[in-house]
Amino acid sequence: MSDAAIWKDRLQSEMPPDLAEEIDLFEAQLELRRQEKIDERIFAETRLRRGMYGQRYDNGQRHDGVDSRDLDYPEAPTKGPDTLWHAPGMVRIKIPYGGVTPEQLEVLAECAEDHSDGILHITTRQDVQLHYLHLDDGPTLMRRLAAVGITTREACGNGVRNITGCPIAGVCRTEAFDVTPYADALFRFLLGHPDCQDFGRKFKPAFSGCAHEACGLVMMHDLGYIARVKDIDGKQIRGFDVYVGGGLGTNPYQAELLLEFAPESEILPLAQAVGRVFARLGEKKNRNRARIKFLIAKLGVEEFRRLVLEEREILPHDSRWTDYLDDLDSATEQAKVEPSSLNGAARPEGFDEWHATNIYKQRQEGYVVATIALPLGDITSEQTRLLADIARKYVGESVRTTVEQNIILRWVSEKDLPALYSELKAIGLAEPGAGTIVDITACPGTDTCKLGIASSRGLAAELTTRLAAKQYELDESVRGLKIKVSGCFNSCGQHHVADIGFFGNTRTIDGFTVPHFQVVLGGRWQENAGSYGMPVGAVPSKRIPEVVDAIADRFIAERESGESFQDFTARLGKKELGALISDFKGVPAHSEDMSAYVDWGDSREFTRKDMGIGECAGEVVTRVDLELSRAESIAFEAQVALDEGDLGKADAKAFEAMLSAAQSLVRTQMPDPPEDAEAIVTEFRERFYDTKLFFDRFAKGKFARPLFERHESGASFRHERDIVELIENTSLFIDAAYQCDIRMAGAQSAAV
Amino acid sequence: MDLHRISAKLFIADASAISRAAGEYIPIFHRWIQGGELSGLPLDVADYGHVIDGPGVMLIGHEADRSLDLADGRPGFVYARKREAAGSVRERLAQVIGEAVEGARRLENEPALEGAVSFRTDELQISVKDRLNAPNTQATFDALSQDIGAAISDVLPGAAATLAQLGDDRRPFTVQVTVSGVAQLAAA
Ligand code: SF4
Repeated sequence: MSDAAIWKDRLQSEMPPDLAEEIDLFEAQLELRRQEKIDERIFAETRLRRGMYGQRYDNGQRHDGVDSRDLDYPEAPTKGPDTLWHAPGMVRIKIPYGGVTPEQLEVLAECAEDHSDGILHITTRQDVQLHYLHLDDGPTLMRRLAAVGITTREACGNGVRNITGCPIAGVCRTEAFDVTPYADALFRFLLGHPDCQDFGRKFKPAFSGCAHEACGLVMMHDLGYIARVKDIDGKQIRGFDVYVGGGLGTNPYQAELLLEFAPESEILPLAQAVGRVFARLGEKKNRNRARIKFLIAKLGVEEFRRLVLEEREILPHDSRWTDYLDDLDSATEQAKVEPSSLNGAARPEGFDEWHATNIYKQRQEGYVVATIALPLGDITSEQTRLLADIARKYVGESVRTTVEQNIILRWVSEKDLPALYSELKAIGLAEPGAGTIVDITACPGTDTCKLGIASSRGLAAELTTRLAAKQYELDESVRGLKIKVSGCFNSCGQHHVADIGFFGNTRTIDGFTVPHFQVVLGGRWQENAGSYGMPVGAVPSKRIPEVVDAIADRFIAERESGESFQDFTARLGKKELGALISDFKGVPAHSEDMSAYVDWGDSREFTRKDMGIGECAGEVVTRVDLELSRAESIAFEAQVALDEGDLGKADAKAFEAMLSAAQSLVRTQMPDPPEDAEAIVTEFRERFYDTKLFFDRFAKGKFARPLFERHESGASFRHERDIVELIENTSLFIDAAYQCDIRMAGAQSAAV
Repeated sequence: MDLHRISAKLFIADASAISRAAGEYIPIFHRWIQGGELSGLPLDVADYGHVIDGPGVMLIGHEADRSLDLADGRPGFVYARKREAAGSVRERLAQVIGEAVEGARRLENEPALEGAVSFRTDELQISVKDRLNAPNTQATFDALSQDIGAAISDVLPGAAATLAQLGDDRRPFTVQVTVSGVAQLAAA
């Protein structure tokens, strides 16, 4: 038995059945792609929808500083266009609203050690990423995670990404109410939801407990909910202001109000209706215009609202919309330790500095939230394991990741703080400065991202080192500023909402390419990412630390009483700010000093030749293609069962594969196709067989008959030869379904 | 026992030699890639020097990673096999230990370090990052001890090794090896 098979066997009973089935299907698709039986584009999108991303150099080319070299991997099929099978990749692991338990932390740590490089990276959307992972390890990793309730499903690709939420929800002093159970319900509802499988691009939802703080960053999300309580007839009723169409990237958009105060019972169906409208009308071909923000800009928010409400009216009822509301209280966390005050407890060295920046007083008297500031969002497996122990000891289950790439412990009883600090310090996790200018956010950039232009992590590490060395001498007004760095215009480092933001680009100086960062000033983190910063010009990477100093000095010198950094930059204006940074645009000639031609954290001369084609946008693959590919995987499972002598399972899987293929065709005419076999067969017969749409030019309806026959005969005892024939016919049925879809698409484009 | 994810760590004799940022090793590892002299397929350099007691600076490869490792506050050179390896377990262990010794030797002779770095010859650490086949238990230790001892003799002739299992069962299988009979890596 292979290791993967042993893991599967061992974990089977611990995984939620739906996740287990999904992973089986992915494993079958992997095998089909290894045999080159599915198209590389379809496999790429399938892989992305399981969270398995490509990484830099996975096209087999790398510039080593002297020349561009071929990376001579063993021969194998590709895992996507221009993406080599054996090249290491990244896996993104969804952590809804950042909530993670000590047990889950332990498994994440083990997976990072056994399958990756022993580092867990917290992303700006509260996910965990592991890098340098081999695709073959994917199914085992997914099973290990699924066994503790974690999924990678739809963490990448054109689907619903992780649902983010205030990490301090439930303990926050200013929230309307705890958004955790709502975020959790939406996560479960949308995961794999049929109405969210046909998007042209990714779709990111977020929850916030109030409008004025930053935590949920609703205004930069595709779909966002801000909690509100309304007095209706003397009753305190919960609801949400619903926003749509926010997003960063090259064209940053602020979200627009879709509905003011939607009752709590409406938030799931509204998301479903938004998903349907986006799937139906969103751009599919031009991926640069395919996010929902472009659709809303095109239609106008009023028309978009009308379409969503119209769609909402016709949605078939789903009990999951409100089932969870009966159980809201179960999400309330229980403190592990009695509340207490710090009083005059002895304070270890360094405690006061840490306490000043890393502690947030909870709404609940006697409790605080402690922030563990992670350098560049990184934590080792060993630290993670020990952190799980510390969490168990002090807070039980209450751990969350944050969009600032940190981890927080909630419900710390105040008197425990000195001991907690000492234990965190012993494992290198007690750095002060959380949420201040030294706590810099950075996307992966050129370290691992195929689209990275400049080294965001290299720059962030350099700025952190320099600023940390003088953090206590910095003026108070500057200490509170936020710096965020993206490796390119795609904005994964969220530079638009930083006080001082940077994104990577390049300039050519005397015929040499010099890494640069565009400087973006005055973004508003508060008010849920309330406004975006102003680009003021590009500066060579190596001169960015001087730029930070110059901006800080000017702010200290010219700040008016009580003036925010946003107001300050708005007052100075683009021209003045451009002039401020213009002193730093020059670099020595290449022949005199090479350092500006080498990026931070690297020693190779800079080049853009290493950039690849990003997978962020997913593949442009139709939904029918994906569903038919899924049907093929089920047919593959039937074959495996047959090989193992399990005739009953082989028969059932073959039938399921045909039903799945038939259902995918039915869906092209019927947005809500039935789920039960009888109805699927009936709809398929009426819509595709009786109409002859499914008919092959020569074979006519021959390939559909095995579906009807198997449906009519049921799972009565069959001989092995019957099952062999059924599986062969299943393959032919799926092939015929592909052909039918191609014919229909051709007919449609001919009709346009 | 079918083990692949085996790693070996040799410790730097004077930890203060790494007192400066581990970033010094970034250009060294890039040069190693450019030189094309390493076995296997080296891919890239990853800098985790900012993480306390972390993997330091890594030279990521297809079959194996090499690193200037900072784990447990004890800097050292690690060779960590990732993909399938050929041969018996003893041969695989010997290949990994041999690569670790080879990497450490390279660092000792690295011109940019000007002789500042030398490695201890009286201890090394063997780990297996594979919780399925090699949980950190007495049974794994019993099953692997002989092969580890033999592999050390294969790579460092004349060396006598004493093994001790490290850590609890949540950590990867790790063995601390005390070695006698080896004067210096260059002569090994
Ligand atoms: S901002 Fe650019 S470089 Fe950074 S992760 Fe996103 S796509 Fe990659």
